[in-house]
Amino acid sequence: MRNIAILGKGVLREFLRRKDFYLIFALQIVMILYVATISFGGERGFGRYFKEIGISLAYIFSVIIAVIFASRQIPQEIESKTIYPILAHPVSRTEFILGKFAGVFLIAAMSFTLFYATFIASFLLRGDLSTPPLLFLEGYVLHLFLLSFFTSLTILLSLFLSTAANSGVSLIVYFGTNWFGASIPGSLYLPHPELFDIKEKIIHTWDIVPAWVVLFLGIYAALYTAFFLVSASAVFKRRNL
Amino acid sequence: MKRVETIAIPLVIFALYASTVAFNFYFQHTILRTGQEQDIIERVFGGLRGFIGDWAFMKAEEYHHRGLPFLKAMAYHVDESPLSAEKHHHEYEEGSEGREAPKDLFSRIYAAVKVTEDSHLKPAEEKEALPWFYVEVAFDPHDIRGYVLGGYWLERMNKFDESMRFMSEGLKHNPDSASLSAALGNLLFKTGKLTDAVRYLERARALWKAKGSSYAAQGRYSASERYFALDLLGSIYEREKEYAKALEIYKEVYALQPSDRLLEKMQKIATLL
Repeated sequence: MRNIAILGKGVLREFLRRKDFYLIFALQIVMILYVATISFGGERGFGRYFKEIGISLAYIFSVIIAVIFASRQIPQEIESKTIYPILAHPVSRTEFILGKFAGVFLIAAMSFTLFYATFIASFLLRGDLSTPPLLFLEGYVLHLFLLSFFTSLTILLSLFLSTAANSGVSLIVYFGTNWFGASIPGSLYLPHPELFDIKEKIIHTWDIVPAWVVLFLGIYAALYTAFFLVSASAVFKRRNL
Repeated sequence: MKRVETIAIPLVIFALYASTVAFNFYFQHTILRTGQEQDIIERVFGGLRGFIGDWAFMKAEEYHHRGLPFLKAMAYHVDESPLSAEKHHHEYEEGSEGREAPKDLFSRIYAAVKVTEDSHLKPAEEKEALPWFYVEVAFDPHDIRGYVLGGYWLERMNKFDESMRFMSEGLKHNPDSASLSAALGNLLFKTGKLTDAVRYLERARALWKAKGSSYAAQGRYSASERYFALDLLGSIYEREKEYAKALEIYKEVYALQPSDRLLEKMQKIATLL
């Protein structure tokens, strides 16, 4: 457990050192300000349009951070040969995978928390209190499930694909399932990450999602995350470094 | 170098958009003038602009249906005759018809996290769909549907001047559009400018006639659009006591969709000639 925490902290340190996050956060602020001031046909105050852009930015930017960081963790360690001293310590390959997952998930969750909080703060500043706070909270929790799903999937794919290819494939899976997920046969045995996205419910102020569904999706995300990580660990153990 | 990798994807997305703007300018001022419309690059980027325009249209429809995805919203309105579509639309709005509750676990979860019921924006919320029409025509100025529906929504919000400006802009980009001429004629009629209304409706009529049978294949909404525009034109002529013209127009309307109401009208007008 200690080894996992140390590896996770390493990812966090790398994240804080790099400028990527600050750049994306600045981009989010600029876009929110732009959307908040835009007018169409002399009309202003489009609450749903504002929510759509604000939530989409928070969701997409956090997924991009999760995918980009997850895709380069293992290839980067192998390429720079820093993996050898790490594995020479009493760190098992499973701990290595779990440590990298924990670190990337932590930074993705932190980024998402900040992006989402920024969006909600800007939304509340508009004086619109029509959306139930619990619905916002559910949107937040479910997206954390999604980040867990994609972080673990990208780590698994990083054992087979180059960093660039892995980022591309993972983002295609994200956008593809988001846009066309309903076309995938409706079986829970198949991955349906679009179920973690309740953006439309939040934008159009529908009822809150029942607690049993959130709980179920939590288990669903945990099982898929576990499946991807166990698979990654099994592959990594057999990998000749 | 690593930072460049991280921001590469958002940069590529923005670059793609920026390139469509540049290419649009290039095509409008160079390629189209030299008659090279079939250039492969134009088709690719023209397609991208059309794709974004279509996406914006679907978002507008989704907003109108309070988050129900476009294709699911359309599924609620299949098997309707052109003239009953609007009536059924409001029946759904009042919630008089529901869908069967999902039974399997996946469908129940899907129904809990996604919008699966058809309902519509309340009158006070109707402006919410508006931004998407502006986005639609900004990306694809030849998307006539965006101008017509955007103009319609502005009219519903009693923003007649903006509706006129918006649709007139559409007509500048698409001077041969019968739909836009008809929509402008309809708007002018509602604002009491009958002479101008007749001018635009006659223009739409002439364009429809010129397009002939190829127009008929465009679907039921186009057919109803033509029906209502000609019916309005006929009623304006009738109101202005130009009975011969009114009768001629009503005959065209009757040919599109015969009805007892029209037959009675025509018989009544014939006695006044």
